[in-house]
Amino acid sequence: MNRPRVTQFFSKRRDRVIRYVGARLLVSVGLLFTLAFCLFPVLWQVITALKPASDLATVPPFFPTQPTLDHFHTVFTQRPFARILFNSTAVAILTTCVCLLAGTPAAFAFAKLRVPGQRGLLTGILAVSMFPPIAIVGSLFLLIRFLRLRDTWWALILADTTFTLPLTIWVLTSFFRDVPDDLLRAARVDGCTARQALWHVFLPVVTPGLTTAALLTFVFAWNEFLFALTFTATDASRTVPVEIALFPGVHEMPWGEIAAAATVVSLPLLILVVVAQRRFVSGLTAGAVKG
Amino acid sequence: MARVQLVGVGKHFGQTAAVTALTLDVAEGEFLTILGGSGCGKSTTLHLIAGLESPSSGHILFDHDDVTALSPRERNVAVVFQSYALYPHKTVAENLAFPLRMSRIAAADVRARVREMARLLRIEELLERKPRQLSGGQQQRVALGRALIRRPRVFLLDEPLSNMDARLRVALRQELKALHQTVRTTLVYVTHDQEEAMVLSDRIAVMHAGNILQCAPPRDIYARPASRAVAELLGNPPINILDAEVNKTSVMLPGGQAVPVPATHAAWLTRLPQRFQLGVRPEHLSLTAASGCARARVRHVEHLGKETHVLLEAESYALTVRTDADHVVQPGETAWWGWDWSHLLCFDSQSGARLLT
Repeated sequence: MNRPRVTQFFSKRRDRVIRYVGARLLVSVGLLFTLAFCLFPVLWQVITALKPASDLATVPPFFPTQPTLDHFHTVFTQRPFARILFNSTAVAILTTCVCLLAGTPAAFAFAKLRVPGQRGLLTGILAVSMFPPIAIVGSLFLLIRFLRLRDTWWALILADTTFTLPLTIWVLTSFFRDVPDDLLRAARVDGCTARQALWHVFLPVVTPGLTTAALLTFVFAWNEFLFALTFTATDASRTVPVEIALFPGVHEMPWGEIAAAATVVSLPLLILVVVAQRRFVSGLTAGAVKG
Repeated sequence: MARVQLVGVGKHFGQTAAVTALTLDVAEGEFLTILGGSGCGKSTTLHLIAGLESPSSGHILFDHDDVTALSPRERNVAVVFQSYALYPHKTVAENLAFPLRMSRIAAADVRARVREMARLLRIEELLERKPRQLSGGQQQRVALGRALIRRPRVFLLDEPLSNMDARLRVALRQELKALHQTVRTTLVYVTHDQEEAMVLSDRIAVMHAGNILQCAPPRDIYARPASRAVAELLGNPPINILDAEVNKTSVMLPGGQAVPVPATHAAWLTRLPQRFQLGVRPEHLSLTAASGCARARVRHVEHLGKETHVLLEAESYALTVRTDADHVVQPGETAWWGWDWSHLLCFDSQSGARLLT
């Protein structure tokens, strides 16, 4: 009588173990595959950047047998790449600054003050960033020419801000809404002027929100291509994405140099994300209020 | 320490009036509780005293000085918020020190006073922690400390215990009372919890719909409420209200049952309007045939251990009776009930004002 039940018990347990291991295996394989799919192009780009020109067209060897920094050298000596990098950095940083400076007060008003027509305004702001850039690039070009900003950083900053400021305002508004009103009241009771309350209490509490918004803006401005292509003409303001697009010559495709340049421009973003990640502490106001 | 006076203070938010023509006088060193349900304007009143809102009309005086136009900073008040509102990015020590640093007190003094406050509230070992690493009770103590450290003229607390579990609430209630007896600062406490108000206060101001209905010591408020609304707000289980009539010799219960009025209460027969409302607290009702007024069916019995609540139901009224724990009745039985004449309250059916005061 007992025997069948015992074996059944064991087989059931074994079934469960097999199913569990199977599920874990499936998930792991899936994850590995996704990871490989996402990271392989990056790896390939780095490998290409390090291979001597003669090995570029052949596989094997998959990994460079004689890694070389020739392509990097070429990029920085035979092209105005340092200047271009400087342009990109300046445009991205200035765009981020403009967005945060303009977006923070706006978001504070939306989140904490009584703004008449708030819903309509917020929807309108979002609508601005919904237009495909290609739809407005023509009229923006006329505007930029009228303002005599062609081929300057400010042309790009203006255009990039048009798209990133609405996003900044939305991100910051939702972060600011989570700051309890009592926290600002406490600051006032504790003797803060409005400016002190902003500096000592509000800004430290919303740092994760500001970091998020800054990162999104920076990445957008750093990667932006269409406006940069349209509004720049020379090394004075050209940014990295456009410059790399201009690498190919009439007769040759300098894959090694493109890969080297692409590796260089990926690095700042990688560093930024890693540094900023530590700022995205979970729970914006954890510990400020209970319940 | 200061005497706090509100003189005809009103506050409107757009079209809605949060507080209307409020007059309140808090004595120096007094523990005054503002008691009321949600939306009655009690938090707004606290914000007005603190200077976080400015009144639409009226004046606020601290020790006879008009502070209506002053900011919270200039009034030297301290507030403990319901959510504690500790600064999450600062340690406990920095939280405590913050009000002192904002008033530019020398660093050595700040350190000494932080230590002193930590000792008073028994949070010395927590000074280097961040608020999120503290339990609810500990956060609450830090919030109290941050408020007290400046030695404010007025100490304001906005439902500081409402986020706690029941046991902790009772413990902290006692601590708070003891703390007030140590520091003796004028204290205004806002709560919706009648038990807290009864236990803590020197006086209770009962608030409803932006008005103060009555302001008196806890025992007076309970025993001699000014109106039906006040009577209903205090007491657990709540007071029973019956529509009654009085004729030449008796009080008529709803449904026509007559209860003869004893000689001691002859005034009832002459001074009450024919129709009035009778208020009787559950503890002033009993289930004995001897003092019996009428019979009713037992609907529910709730055993609470120290006492038993019995819900009686007749055709046109229902009553809650508080009896001893060992009193045995079964749902479905019919029981005689009676009241204690000396504790009955009569209210005007229209205005709700107490009659025969």
